[in-house]
Amino acid sequence: MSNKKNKYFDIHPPVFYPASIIIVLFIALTLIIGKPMEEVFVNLQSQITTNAGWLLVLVVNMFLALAVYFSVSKIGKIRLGGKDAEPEFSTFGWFSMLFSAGLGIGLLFFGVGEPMMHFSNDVINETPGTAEAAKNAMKYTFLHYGLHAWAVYAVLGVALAFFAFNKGLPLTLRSVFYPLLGNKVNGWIGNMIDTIAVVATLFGLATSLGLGVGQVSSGLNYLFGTADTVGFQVFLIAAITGAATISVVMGLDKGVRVLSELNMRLAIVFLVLMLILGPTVYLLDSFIQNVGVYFQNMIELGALTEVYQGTAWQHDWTIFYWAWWIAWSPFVAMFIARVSKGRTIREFFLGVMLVPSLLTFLWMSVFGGSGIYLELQQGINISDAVNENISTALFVMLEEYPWSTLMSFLGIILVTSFFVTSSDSGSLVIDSITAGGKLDAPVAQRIFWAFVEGAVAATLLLGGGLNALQTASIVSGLPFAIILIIMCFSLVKGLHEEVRAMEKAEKVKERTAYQSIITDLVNERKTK
Amino acid sequence: MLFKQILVALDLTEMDDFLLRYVLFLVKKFKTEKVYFVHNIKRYDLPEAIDELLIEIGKPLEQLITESLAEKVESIFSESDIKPSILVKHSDSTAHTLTDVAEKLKVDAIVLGKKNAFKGTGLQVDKVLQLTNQSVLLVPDWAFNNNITNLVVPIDFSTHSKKLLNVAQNIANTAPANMGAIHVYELPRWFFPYIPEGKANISLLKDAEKSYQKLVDSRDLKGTKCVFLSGKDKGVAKTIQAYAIKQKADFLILGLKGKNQFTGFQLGSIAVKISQLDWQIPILFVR
Repeated sequence: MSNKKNKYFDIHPPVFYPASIIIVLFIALTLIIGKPMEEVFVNLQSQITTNAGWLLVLVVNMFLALAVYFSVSKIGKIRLGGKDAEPEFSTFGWFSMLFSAGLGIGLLFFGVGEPMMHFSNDVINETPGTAEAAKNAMKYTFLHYGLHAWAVYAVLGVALAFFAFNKGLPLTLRSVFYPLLGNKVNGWIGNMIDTIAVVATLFGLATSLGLGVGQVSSGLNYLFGTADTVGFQVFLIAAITGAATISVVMGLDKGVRVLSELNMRLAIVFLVLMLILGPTVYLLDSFIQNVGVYFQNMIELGALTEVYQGTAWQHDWTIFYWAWWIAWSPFVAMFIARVSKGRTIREFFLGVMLVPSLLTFLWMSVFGGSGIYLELQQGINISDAVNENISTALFVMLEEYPWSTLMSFLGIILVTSFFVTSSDSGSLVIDSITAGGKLDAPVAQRIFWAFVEGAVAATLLLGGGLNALQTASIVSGLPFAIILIIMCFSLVKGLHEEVRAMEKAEKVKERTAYQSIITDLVNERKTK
Repeated sequence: MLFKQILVALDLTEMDDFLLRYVLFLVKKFKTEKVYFVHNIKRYDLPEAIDELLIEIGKPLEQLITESLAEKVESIFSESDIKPSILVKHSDSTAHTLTDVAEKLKVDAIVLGKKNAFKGTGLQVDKVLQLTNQSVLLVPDWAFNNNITNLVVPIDFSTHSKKLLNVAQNIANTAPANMGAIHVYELPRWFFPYIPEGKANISLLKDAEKSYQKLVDSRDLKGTKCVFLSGKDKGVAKTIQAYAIKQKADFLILGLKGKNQFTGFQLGSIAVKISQLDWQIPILFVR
C-alpha cells in the first residue's frame, strides 16, 4: 500500500480521506436534520431487533463455539507472531489493557444499574423485587457481559493478530479477508472495509464519550454540587481528550499500558473496598451462586429468543448488547490484537475470554449485589432512582454505605480514567488503520484523531444528536455481523492452512531425515 | 545408585557417537552394570529402492540396524567390561517405545541426545519427560566435556528437593565434583499486583533462606552452598541457565516434580522449559 508521508502525517489516502469526509458529512447531517434523523435510526434499530434478533443471537453463539474450538484444537498451538515470538507485555499489563479497552466504562455505568433494572422490572413474565428476580437479574447481567461478549472480541482479535503477525499483512481490518479475497484486499474493497471500521470506531468512541460524561457530570454534581450542564460536560470532554492525548503521544508502552495498569489497580481497590464496606459474606455468597447459575444456564440463556413467551424484553437488552459489542468489536479487537503478539492462540482465548469474564462477574456481583441487598434485605428503595436515571445508579447505591463520599469520588475518577484509556486506545487503532496498518505513525496524526473524537463528542453534545449517532452505531451492528460471518470462514481457512503447513513441514523434515539415514545405512551394509 | 542400569536412545545420526562416548564415561565413573541401546524404527513408507536393496541383501532392516549399531557400540565399548544389549523396536511413537521399554526393564535412567546443531528425526523430549517414571539424562551434542567437576542443582524446597540434593550429593562424591544449589524466587505478580516489589523480594529471599536452612539442617548437607537469585527479569528457566553458564557448570540436576503454581517456582513446567533451551552441558531430570 502506498502512503502519503511527511513529517507530521503518514496516511493511506484512500482510507483517510473517505473516512474523514464521511465523519464530517454525517455529523453535519445529524446536526442539520436533528430529530427526524434520530427517528429514522430508532425505527431501523427497532426493525433490526425485532426481525433480525435471531441472527444476532446465532452469530454471537457461533463466535463462542468457534472460540472454544480454537482453544482446544491444534489451532491453539499456533503462536501469534511466529514460533519464536515472545510476549511484548507482562501478563498483568496485558490483562489490564484488555480489560480497560473492552469493558471499563460499561462496568462503572451498568455495574449497579443493570442488575437493579432487571431486578425491579418485569423481565419475561416474572414478579419484580423477589428473590427469584434477584437471581435472574444477575443471570442476565452475566449473559450480557460474559463469555459471549468476549468471544466476539476474541475471534476478531485473533483473526487480526494472526494475519498481521503471522502472515505479515498490515494490522487493519481488510487483512482478515485475505484468504477469501486474495490481493483484492489491497484494492477498493479493502479500502472500503477499513473506512467502515474507522467510521464505526470513531462514532462508537465519540458517542460513549459524549454519553459517559453524563455520568461523570452527575457524579460531580452529586458530590460537589457542580453544575450538571452541557457546558460543563463539554469542559469534561476537553479534559478527558487532553489526558488521552498525552497518553497517546507517549505511545503504547509508556502511555496506554501505564494508564491501563493504573486503572486496573484503582478498579481493584474500588472493588475490594466495596466488598469490605458492603455486606461482605452476602456478596461472596452471591458471586459463587451467580457463577454457578450462569454456567448452568449458559447455553439456554445464550440461545434465548423469547419465542413462546411472546415478550420482547431482550430487544432492549440482549439484542442491543449483541449489536453493540459487534459494532464496538473492530476497535477492541484491533487493540487486543495489537497487544497480544507472542501469545499462543490458546493463551489468547484464555486471557481474552475467561479472565475478564470472571473478573466482570465478581464486579457485577459486588456492585449489583450491594444494590440488591439494600432492597431485598434492608427494604431500602434505590431502584426508583435507578430507573429514573441509570447514570446515577452507582452514586445512589454508594450513599447507603459507609464512606460514601470517598467511594463516589473514587468512582468518578475511575469512570474518567476508563474514558481516557478507551479514548487513547481508540485513537491508536484509528491512527493505525488510516496509516495503512502501520503500528507507529507520526505523533501529530495520533493527536489529530484524539482531538477529532473529542470534537465529535462535544459537537453532538452541544447540537444534539448523540442518541442518533449511538443508534446508528448499533444499527451498523447487523451488516457488520454479516461481514464477521464471512470473516469467520476466512479465518478458519487461514488457520487450518497454517496448522497443516506446520504439521507437514515438521513431518516432512523428520521423514526425509529418517529416510536418508536408513538409505545410507542400507547402502553401507550392502558393501560389507 | 542412579546409573546402575541405563537405557540409551540411539537414532543412527552423528549424535550417536557423542552419546556413546558420554555413556562410556558414565559407565566407568558410576560402575554401571547394564546398558541397553534402543533404536525405534519409525513406520514410514520407505522408498522402493530400499525395499529392493533389502531383498538383494537378503536381510530384514531390523537385522541390518542391529548389526550396524553393534559395530558402533563395539568400537567404543571395547575397553569396557560390560556387554551392552541392543534392542531394535518398531512403532509410530519413539517416546512411547522408550518409556515402555524402560519401564519393562526397570532401568534407573533413560539417556537421550539433545540436538542443537544436528537435524532431528523427531523425538519429543518433553513427551518422554511427561511419560516416564524414570530419571532422564539429556546429553547435548555440544557437550564437549566428558567429565563432571562442577554441578549445579536448582531447588524449590519441596519434599522432592531433599531427594534431589541427596542424588546430587551422591554424584558429587562419586565424580568427585563441586556442588552448588541455586534457588530462583519469583513473585507471582498476577496474584499480588499491589505488593511493592522491593519489600516483597526481601521477604521472599528471607523465606527462601530459612527454608534452605531447615532443609540442610535436616540432612547431612551442611557444607552445601545455595545461591538465591530473583527470576524477575529472565524467568526461572533462563535465570538457572545464565547462572549455570556463569559458574562454568558441567552438569545440571533438577527435579521432575515441584511445588504448586502459587510459589512461582513450578519445577514441573520449569523442567520442560529448561529442556527446550539450548545447552552445552548434560542435564539430569530426577524423577
